[in-house]
Amino acid sequence: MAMEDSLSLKLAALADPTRRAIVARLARGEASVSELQRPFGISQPAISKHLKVLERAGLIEQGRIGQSRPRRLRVDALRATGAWFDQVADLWRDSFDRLDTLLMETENDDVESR
Amino acid sequence: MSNPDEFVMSRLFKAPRDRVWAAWTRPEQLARWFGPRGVTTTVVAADIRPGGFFHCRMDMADGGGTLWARLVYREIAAPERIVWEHSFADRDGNIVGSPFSEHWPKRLLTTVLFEEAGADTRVRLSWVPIDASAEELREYRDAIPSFDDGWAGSYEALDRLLAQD
Repeated sequence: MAMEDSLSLKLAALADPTRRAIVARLARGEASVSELQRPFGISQPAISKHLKVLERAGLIEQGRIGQSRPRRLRVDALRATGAWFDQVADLWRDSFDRLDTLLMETENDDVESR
Repeated sequence: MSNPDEFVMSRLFKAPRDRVWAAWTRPEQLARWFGPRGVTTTVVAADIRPGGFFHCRMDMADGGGTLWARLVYREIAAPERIVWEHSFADRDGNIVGSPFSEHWPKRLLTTVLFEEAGADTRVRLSWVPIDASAEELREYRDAIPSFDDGWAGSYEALDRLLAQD
């Protein structure tokens, strides 16, 4: 139950393109709120709202360096979400991509052996 | 056709139906495409007929571990339809839970339809949980909307992101 809720929270958090962009930015290293605000060109309240959603989903956390509170990615949490995606949807999409390749190859084999 | 627990994926393949059928029913061909990206699939058992048992191991790249899958076929109706029960497995072929998620259905009924579309073949795959608990069903049902193509770009980006660290 708790696990499903946390997965739903993560997926909902990642469903928003701005929040995915924030996650992508934090993947390169931790950043303060104002550093995050800059590339997105949005207001401080708006970015704080996004950060809160990501935080509640367990995807990011606050560090503490002196007075500043840089945000950083919780890579494990993100990886768990990624693994889940791999499991369900990628299984078939990737398989079908590989099947495409195989079918193209066998077609060529047949043409050559004729 | 509005089973809320059904996941459907359709794809057109640029090959005649008999060739697509062979790719799904010949073990040596299945081994070459079956499984998530980056895995090497080894077929251990492949009794591809109704009631037959299929067992394969999937080795993830770079020592990322090994997954096992097992299929039990219900119908093999060449060249139109294959139905099987799909599960994660251990090395002995016993059903196990998902390695990624605590509440994932143990068995998924997989139905694959092969339709001719001119010179090409349309493959329609569907997944429906079998005998799932309420929790498993909930997790599965929650997952279905995210299977949409709209998500594809997102998880590709997520994949790239995860590959960075």
